[in-house]
Amino acid sequence: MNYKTILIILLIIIVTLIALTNALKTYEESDYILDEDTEEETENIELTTTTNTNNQINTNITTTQNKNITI
Amino acid sequence: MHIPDGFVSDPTQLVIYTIIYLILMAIILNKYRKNHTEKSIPILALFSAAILIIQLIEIPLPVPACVHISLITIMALYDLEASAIVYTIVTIAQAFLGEGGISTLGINLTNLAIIAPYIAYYTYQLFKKQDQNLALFLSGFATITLLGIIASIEYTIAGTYPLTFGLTVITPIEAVIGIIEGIITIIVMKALHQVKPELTPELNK
Repeated sequence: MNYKTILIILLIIIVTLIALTNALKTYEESDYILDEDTEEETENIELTTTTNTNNQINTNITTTQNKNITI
Repeated sequence: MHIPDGFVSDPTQLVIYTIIYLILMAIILNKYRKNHTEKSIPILALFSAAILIIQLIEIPLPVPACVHISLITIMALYDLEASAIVYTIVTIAQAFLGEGGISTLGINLTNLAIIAPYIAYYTYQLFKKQDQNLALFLSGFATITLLGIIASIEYTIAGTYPLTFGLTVITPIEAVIGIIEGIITIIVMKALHQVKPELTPELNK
């Protein structure tokens, strides 16, 4: 391979890596998310919340039932 | 660079991209029919299978984005019209394998099956007089990087990300994949040229 070709490729690699470092910083500081699975995660969180709420309702019902029994 | 489901949600835009793809694909298919016989179909199947498998290998990056090499230059330099057909098959298969999206298939097909092979082919033609290896590298690198810029513009039109985010975050990530793509293009093209020179007609010129 021609030395000029190697030099140009190395130059492109260095510039790209500098751009990547800057991109990672910008990404960390930004509010945007690149992840495709974000929606699924949100759904999972919502489902967990619903389950927790149901558990709380169940606990409340049990407590009420217990109280009734006690009474 | 696949655009996943939900990242472009405007139905009008999705329909426009699909229409653009269908028109351009009809023109390319018409050209392909004129220049090829049924004998070239098995090679299309072979390339489709090979490229689909290679694209399933994801490259880990410190950013939660799905990236992989695509071998666009190798296919485009073998046959420009055939590459549009091969990337159509690959992109549709990938959409059903969970990479890219089904609703965004029109955009992904326009980007990967139409725009990308033409960028790869003409970048190689532009630089091949300087140095063949440099032309191969730049072809792979420019295709992936320019696809990042094109996707950034499409995201901006769709209102998903601002253009500055696309150009400062998405494009540099794509450029890193472009470097890997460029180096792999040189290695694979040289290896193919030694083993099966009929698969690298551009290097024989």
